[in-house]
Amino acid sequence: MSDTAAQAAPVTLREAVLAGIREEMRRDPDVVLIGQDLRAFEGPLKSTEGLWAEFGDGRVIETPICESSATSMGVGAAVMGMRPIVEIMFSDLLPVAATPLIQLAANLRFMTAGVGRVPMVVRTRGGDGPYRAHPQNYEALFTHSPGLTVVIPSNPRDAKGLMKSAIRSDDPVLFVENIFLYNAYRQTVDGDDALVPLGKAATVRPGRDATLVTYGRSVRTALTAADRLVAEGIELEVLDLRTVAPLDEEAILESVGRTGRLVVVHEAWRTGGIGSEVISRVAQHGLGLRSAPVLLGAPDVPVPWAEPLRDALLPTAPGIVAAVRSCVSEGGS
Amino acid sequence: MNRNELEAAHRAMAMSREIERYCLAKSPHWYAGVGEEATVVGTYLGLDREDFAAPHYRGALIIPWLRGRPLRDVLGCVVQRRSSPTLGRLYGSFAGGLEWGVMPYVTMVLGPNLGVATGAALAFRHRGQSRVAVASMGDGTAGTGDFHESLNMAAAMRLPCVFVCQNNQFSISTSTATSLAGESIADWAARYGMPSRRVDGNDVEAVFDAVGEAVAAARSGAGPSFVEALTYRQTGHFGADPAAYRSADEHQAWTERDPLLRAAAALEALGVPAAATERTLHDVAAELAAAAEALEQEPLLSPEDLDREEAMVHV
Repeated sequence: MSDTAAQAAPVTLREAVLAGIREEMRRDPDVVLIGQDLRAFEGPLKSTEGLWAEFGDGRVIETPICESSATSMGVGAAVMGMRPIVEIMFSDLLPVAATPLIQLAANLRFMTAGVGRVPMVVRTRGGDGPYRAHPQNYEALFTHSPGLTVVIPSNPRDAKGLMKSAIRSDDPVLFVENIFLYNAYRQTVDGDDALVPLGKAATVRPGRDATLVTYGRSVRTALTAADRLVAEGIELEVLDLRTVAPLDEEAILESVGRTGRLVVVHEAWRTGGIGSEVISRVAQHGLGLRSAPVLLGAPDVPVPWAEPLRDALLPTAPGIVAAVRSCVSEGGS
Repeated sequence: MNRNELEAAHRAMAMSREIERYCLAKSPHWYAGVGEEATVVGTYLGLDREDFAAPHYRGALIIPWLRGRPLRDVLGCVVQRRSSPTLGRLYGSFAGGLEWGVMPYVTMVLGPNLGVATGAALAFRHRGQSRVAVASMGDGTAGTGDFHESLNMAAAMRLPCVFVCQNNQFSISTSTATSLAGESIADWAARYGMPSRRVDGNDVEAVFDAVGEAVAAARSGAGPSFVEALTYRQTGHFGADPAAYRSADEHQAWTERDPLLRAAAALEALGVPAAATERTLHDVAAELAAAAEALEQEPLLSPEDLDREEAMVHV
């Protein structure tokens, strides 16, 4: 038990990701960080705190502001067998790195009959949060890119184990750390050898009446809604995707097959998003639902700057309660 | 170059010419490297096997061959048979060959492979190796952001990297002279604080020597250098492009400076009889024809090849 014993002090999601990176950097000298403002500044939102102090210039490699070429640099280092973590400050900057991510890192293995591998993590921070800038949620662009694994953890324990798995993966992983959750709360996390597998969803709350599929920040909102629904006699099952590409289709189908009702919730835009894909998979498998599936996500507008406007775009617990209630009453019991 | 090196270069250039002609005959859409052989061969011939090559796409099929890839596999990247090294996934001239240390041109976007070369160089330095990463780009690539970002990073980090501009004077139809500001691409590179020079890209010895010096400097820890090799694309952008945007006189002048003719003349000056040089051309043509004929007997790739596990994108 000693290796996997819970650490004494609970940590935030930010600290958990850092702990995962630190452990992997200690374990494997080929793990390096590449990006801007990683050393004395310690990364945006202190996302690389302590790493330069411990590992020095050779492992924490500062670049100018050039996300595109820095990502290509990560690919080159990865092709040569290193395990780089490329830091893209915020998700708003991901489109700048889209060419090397989508067309190079994600494609290489397929294009070379498996000779070329890109064991690279691209790490970024996204979603609305107390830091009121860079909120756009671009994850769906990258889930539509064959060969990329896209991870969005919802809690510190998963965040650490998923980051460790991402670093050890021989294929590229986009790892999005939600800004709202970054320092929101603390949780005890598992010790050194605890990995959370990529591509596997987690049932964070079992329930018999409806399946709610979600990820990232909205997991917390969904759990709050589930608590409220208990008073109405509705048991909501909450599935946290954790990895949004590839989707854990098996877990989704298993749960929806039992409950017969599906609600999908995310902070990102509805059109062409993860929720549409989840509903599509369920439909394609011919699962008969007892009521129409519901998709709660942002309308098709860029996330605005003013707080009252942006808050209006987010899924809320009352909104989820109402959606689930309507779903359950519509479908009968 | 000594006589052996020059003979090897001439033979490689002749083989490259044959490969490109074969590909042009196969597809009117082929982006041919005819005319640019001295720049390509001169850049990559002198590298150590452990050095990393990130070539420009035009005329690049010869580079893995220089390192030992059998001709059959070189052509296999093009003809879409079941033994294709890329399983037919990647446009033929973009194939590279990572098992031969040659980066494929995966993106079809100009620029990312320059960053890839800086990353390979970073890995070499990280491991205390004396390997060098050599990246080529066309003159068109010099107009991209990635060009400037990557040169800047390589210079600022003093990476063991060599950049070679395979300046064939055209970005598709747009002439370099009218589309790029500044004196020359070599001049741009010099402003990033790295040694930079312009050489005759149809003179394989000039390219070989300039790149050789740059590689030696990078290997010794002196950081990156830049070589602009001025050459000429003898075909259109692709085989069927009539290249109406350039004059017949210009084309004629550059055809007279054909790199194979130049190498043959240089060999003759070293005492190699013209008949021997001619024989090399016939030999490589026969070698290519035999390899192509054998390969074309093989079955074509079929839809089942999409499921081959080695190329699946999620484990």
